[in-house]
Amino acid sequence: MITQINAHSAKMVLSCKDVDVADYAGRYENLQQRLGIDFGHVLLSMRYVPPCVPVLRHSDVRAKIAELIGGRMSDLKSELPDIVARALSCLRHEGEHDLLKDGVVPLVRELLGKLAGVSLHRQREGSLVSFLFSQTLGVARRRRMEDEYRELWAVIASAYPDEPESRRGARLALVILGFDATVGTLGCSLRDLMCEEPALMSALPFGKSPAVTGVPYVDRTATAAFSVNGQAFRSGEALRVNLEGGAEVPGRSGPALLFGAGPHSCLGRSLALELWSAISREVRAIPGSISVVDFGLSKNDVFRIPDKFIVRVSK
Amino acid sequence: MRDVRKIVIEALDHATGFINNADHFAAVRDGGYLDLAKLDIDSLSQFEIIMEIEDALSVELDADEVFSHSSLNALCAWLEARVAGDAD
Repeated sequence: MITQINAHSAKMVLSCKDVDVADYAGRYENLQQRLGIDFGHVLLSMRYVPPCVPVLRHSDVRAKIAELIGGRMSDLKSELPDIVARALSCLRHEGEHDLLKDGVVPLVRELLGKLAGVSLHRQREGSLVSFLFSQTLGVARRRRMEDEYRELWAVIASAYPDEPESRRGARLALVILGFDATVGTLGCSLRDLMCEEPALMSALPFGKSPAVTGVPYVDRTATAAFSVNGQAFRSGEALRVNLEGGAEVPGRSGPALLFGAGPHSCLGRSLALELWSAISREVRAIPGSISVVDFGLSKNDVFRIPDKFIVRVSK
Repeated sequence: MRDVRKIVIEALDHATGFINNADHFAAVRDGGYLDLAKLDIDSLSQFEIIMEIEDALSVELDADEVFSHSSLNALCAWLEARVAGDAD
């Protein structure tokens, strides 16, 4: 039983000292024991992915990721316009385009690959890497996910043989947390901007940040009894904190919630805003109009991520 | 042709021992209504059941889709369609 927290209480709940991460590792340890399946690489990964790390170790793990992002930020910011222009070049041609497969996915793959220092081009279609937090995944897919984690650790270890495990773990965390969250946020926000009606690309109303989040909720656990906005929670209660609906426009996240809140707020916020700004400049400089031909979301209980995003460009 | 109903009943029984209940046994024998909620399947048992069915039928299943069916007959009908769809 999970208690739903609406967006109006989300910031206070996420910042509350009596709230910690959901016990994702405990679930896998129980499954491993009961089913007799080795989830060793999934459990190893959970030691370095902040939303899986309890508060006592959390700041160390987060610092390693911040160090990695900080070390690449300056170079990446200067490369962003070229990366975005390459990825969205299909919009410069008339006709129908698969903006997901030919635009958003290559863009995020290149950006995250550079950020984490890991080539993501080997990542398979239908990768399960970011299903780490899923509660509904069956056993066969969990086994496949374990295989993918084993491969990913091996790729990182062979690229960085002299690095300590914690540094490799930070690279892995960027891949896990960044890919589907960014593809989902960019894909859904671009679709939201383009709607179905043909619109001039130069007039698309890009705001300062994406309007739709690819991470509609996060799970937490109350570590002691507390109350927020008159709602009481008991120690041990499972909480699902919804990150959308806080803005005046239904279905959109308030700017304050798009990147979460509290000790787990998004470390990539600054880069994500730069990316959105670069996308805005690139798209608005393209002549012609654009409309959404087809759009669909994938089945995913953690991320809101499109599996279909076809657009038509007209002069 | 794999007997989906037999596989599901065995998986449910291995995880819960539900056949030992006379009412449940009668429902299974007669093809009658068996409310899955009455089996009190905990979350770890759910994954045992899923694993046994996945292995027997060579399919990939999600917990929410399997346990969204309230009765044994509904679950079997959905799984038969799913297996037939995967085979197409």
